[in-house]
Amino acid sequence: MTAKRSHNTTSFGMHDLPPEQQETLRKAKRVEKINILTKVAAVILIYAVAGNSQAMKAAWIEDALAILPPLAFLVAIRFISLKPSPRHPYGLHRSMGIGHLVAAVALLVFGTYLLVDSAMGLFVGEHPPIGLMEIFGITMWSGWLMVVVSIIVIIPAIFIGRINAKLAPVLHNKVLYADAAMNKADWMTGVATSVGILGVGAGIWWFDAAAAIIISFDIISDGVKNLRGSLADLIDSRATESDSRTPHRLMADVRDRLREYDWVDKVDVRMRDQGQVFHTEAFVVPPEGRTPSLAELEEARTTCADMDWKLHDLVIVPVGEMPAEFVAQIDEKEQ
Amino acid sequence: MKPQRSTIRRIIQVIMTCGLTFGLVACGGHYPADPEGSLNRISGGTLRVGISHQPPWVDTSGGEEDPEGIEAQLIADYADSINAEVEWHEGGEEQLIGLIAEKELDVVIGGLTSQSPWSSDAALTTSYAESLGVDGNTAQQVMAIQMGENAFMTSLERFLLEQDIDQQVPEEMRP
Repeated sequence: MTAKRSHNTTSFGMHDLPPEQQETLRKAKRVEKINILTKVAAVILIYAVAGNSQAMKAAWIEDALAILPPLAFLVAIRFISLKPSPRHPYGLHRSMGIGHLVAAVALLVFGTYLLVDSAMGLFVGEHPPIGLMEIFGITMWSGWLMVVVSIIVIIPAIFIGRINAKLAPVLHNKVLYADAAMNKADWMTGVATSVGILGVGAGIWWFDAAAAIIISFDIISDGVKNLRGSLADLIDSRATESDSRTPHRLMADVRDRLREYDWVDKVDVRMRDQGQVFHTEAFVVPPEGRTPSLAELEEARTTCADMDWKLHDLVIVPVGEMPAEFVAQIDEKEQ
Repeated sequence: MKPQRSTIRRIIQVIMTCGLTFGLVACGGHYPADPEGSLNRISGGTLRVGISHQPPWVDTSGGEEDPEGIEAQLIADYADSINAEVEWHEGGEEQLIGLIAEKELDVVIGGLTSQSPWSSDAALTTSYAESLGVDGNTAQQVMAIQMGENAFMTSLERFLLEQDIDQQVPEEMRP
C-alpha cells in the first residue's frame, strides 16, 4: 500500500495489470503475509502445548509445511514483477509455476505424512498417552488444552483459505488455489485432531489415528491434483483454466478474433501458461494473393493482446501452410 | 461471509456432538479413560511396580525388604491412597520398560527424567520434581507407565503434583 511497495504490484514483467488485478494482488500479498504470521504463531503455540507429546507432533509439522505455499507465492511475485532482460527474454513468469510446484509438493507431503504416521500408529497399536499439565499453577488434563489450541489455530486458516479461493480466479494464480487447499487441509486436520483427542480421552485409543487417515485422503488428492497441474504447466501443456483441465477460453477468443480479418483464411493458436501470464503464438494462413501488410499484422497483434492482461506476450506468425509440428489445441473443446 | 460462518458452525457442531457422545461414553467412568482399564483394576487391587536401583530415588540395597527412596515412598503412598497392594519387581531399566510395553507392569521408577529415551515404549508422566543430575544438568523427574492408560496416568500425576517433592530432594541435588 505504501509507495515503496506499489512499484512492483502494478505489473508482471512487461504486462501492466488492470486496476482490478492490481487491487486483488495487493490484497493477496497482504493476506499471504498475515497467513505466514499466523502459521508461525501456530507452530510456536502448538509446540509449547504439545511439548514432547506424540499426539500433537504431527499438528506442528503440518503447520510448518503450510508456511511453504504463501512463502512460495510472495517470493514468486517478486520475481515475476521483474522486467524481461537479455538473459531472461521471456521474463521470469515461470517462477509462479515453480511456486505452484512447491505448494503442490508441500500439500502432497503433508497428506502423505499424515497418512503414513497415522497408519503406522494404528498398525502398531500405539495408544496415545495424554496426561496432566500444570499451566499458570492450574493442573488440568492436557487434552483440553490441545483441543482449545487446535481450534484456535484453525480459525485463521478457514478465513484465509476462503479469501484465497476468491482472489485466485481474478489473478489466474494457481499458487493461491493451492494455498486455499492447504488452508482447508490445515483446518480439517485441526478438527480431526480435536475430535481425535476427545475420542482418546473417552478411551478409544484408535480414534485420533482414524480421524487423521480419513482426512489425509482428501489432502493427498488435492496434492496430486496440484502436482499434476503444476507439472503440466511447466512442461508447456496447453493453457488451462484454474482447474488445470478445461482449455483456457482465451485460446478460442484469440482465434475467433483473428478469423474476423479478411486477410485470414486459416488460423490456429497455441498457448502455454507461464505460471501467471500466457505465451501465445497464433499461426495465420492468408488466402491466395492477400498477404497482410505489416501495419495490419501489427494492428491485429495489439487488438488481440489487449483482449486480456494475460495475453500481452502474443505473436502472430503468417505462414503459407500450417507447420507440420503445429497441433491445433482447441478442437477438443469444440466437440 | 455467509459460507464462512456456516463452516465454523458446522465445525463447532461436529466437535460438540463428539464431545457429548464421548462424555456419555465416559459417563460413570473416568475422563480421560483407560483403554485397558488399568485404574479400575489397580484400585483395591495390586499395583505392579518395576524398580531400578538409583538413589536417592529408588534404593534397593535393603535386599528382601521393601525398597526405599523418594520415588519408592511416593508409590507406596499413592497405592495407599487407592487401596492397592504394591508388588515390587526389581530389574534393569531396559527390561522393566520392556515389561511395561508388554503390559506386565503398571509403573516403572528409578530416577527417570523427561529426557528418557524410553518415551516411545512407555508413557512418561508429567514432571513432579527437578534435580541436578550427575552430568550437571537440571533434569525433570518422571515415572514411566503403560502407553495410553490415561485415567491411571492422570490419577497418578494428580497425586504426585499434590506432594511437595522438591523439598525431599537432597540439598546437593537441588538445581
